[in-house]
Amino acid sequence: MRAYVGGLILLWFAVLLQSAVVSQWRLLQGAVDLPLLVWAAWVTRERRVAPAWFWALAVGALWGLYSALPSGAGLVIYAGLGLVAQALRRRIWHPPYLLLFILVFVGSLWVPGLTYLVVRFAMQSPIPFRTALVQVILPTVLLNLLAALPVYAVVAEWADWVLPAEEVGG
Amino acid sequence: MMKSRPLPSWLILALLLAGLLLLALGGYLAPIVRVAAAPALRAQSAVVRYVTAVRDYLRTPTDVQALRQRNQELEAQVAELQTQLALLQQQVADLSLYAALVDFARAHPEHEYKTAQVIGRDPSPFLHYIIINLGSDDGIRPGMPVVSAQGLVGQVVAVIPRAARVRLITDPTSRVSVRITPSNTEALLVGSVTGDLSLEMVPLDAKVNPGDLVVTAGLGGEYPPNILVGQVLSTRRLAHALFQEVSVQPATPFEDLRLVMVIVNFRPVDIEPLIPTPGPGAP
Repeated sequence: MRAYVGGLILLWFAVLLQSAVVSQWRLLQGAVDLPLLVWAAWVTRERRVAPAWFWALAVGALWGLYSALPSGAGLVIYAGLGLVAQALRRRIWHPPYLLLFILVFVGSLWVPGLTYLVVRFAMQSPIPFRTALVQVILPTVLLNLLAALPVYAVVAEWADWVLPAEEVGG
Repeated sequence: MMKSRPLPSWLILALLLAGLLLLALGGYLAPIVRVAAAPALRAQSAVVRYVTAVRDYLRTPTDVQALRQRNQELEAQVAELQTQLALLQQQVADLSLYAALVDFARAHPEHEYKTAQVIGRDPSPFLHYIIINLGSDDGIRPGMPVVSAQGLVGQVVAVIPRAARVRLITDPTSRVSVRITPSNTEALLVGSVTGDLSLEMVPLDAKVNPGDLVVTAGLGGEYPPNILVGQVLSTRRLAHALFQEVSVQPATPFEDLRLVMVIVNFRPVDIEPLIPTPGPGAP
């Protein structure tokens, strides 16, 4: 129970920070995706309490509350990422950093990529793909990879405090 | 011959002392005293210095502890004062923002405003939306225009009891009917994912120059007329194109948006039912 509450508080705080502060720190139009980084670090660290898709759904639901995307879009985007993460987590046990960077890299392409498709086709926003790739997706990938380790360090501290000792991986 | 009687030794001594006293009172002994006193003074200074050093050495632990405690108190005081200073500076900045908003409201007295604080932005970089701290409990409704002290910001698109979501005019899906002054040319202002604003549907023969003002036209019923949007930044006429390419510098600094005003007495008009739709027999 403590792990669930701790994980949900952590993810909610990440989405809150993203909306209030982090989304304004831009490289071109890309920004660090803090909910994604925190989620990746959390599922890397926490392996026994809940499957990766559960935490992905939680991030997607919280993300959807703050975003103007159509209802459920955030949930669907992150649910897909959660399934990918689940498959990856079964195959990669050690070292945790490898899983972390793979999750961050895949997620940094997955989340903005699918968001672009939703914005482009569901919201009829005329954003050229090249502009989306150069201005948003690639800068986001770069920033996320740079910020992955510092975020992992913070999340690991939180995980050590929240999770029982035998549940802490890495 | 009479043998003289020697003076008593005490008298000689008294006379000598009296002489010396008189010489000293007259100031004639000062150079001698100065020279003679110097070694004594040096010796005394040295003794005092060493005694003080020993005393300080013995008292040092107590002093350091007291100094550390005092230092901690002062550091705490400095931190508290710095916090107060930061808060006061923030209040001064807020006051100047409020003053600018009041100026805007005075310049447009036909509207009623409610001031709101920007409390969040959309987490996706593709979407240019902000979240404000006023909602349906405060009388905010979807469709209400939002302005800053400088000009147009956007439109309320979703509302919950204590917050609302505002689509900025820089959002790629935003479309605002505008008028360019002084030529009175009407055009459509569109946003982009990079936050740049541009004008569409500007005829090639329209006289549009950099520096011209762009204000809302009021057409379409979504925004009230004559709210400043920005300034024409550049124009480009391509020979094969039907319209000019015009870029606009927004009046509102969207990167540093903290306070906005919602125009609460404006009701947007939905003209969609008036737009003719192709009938069943239409091709």
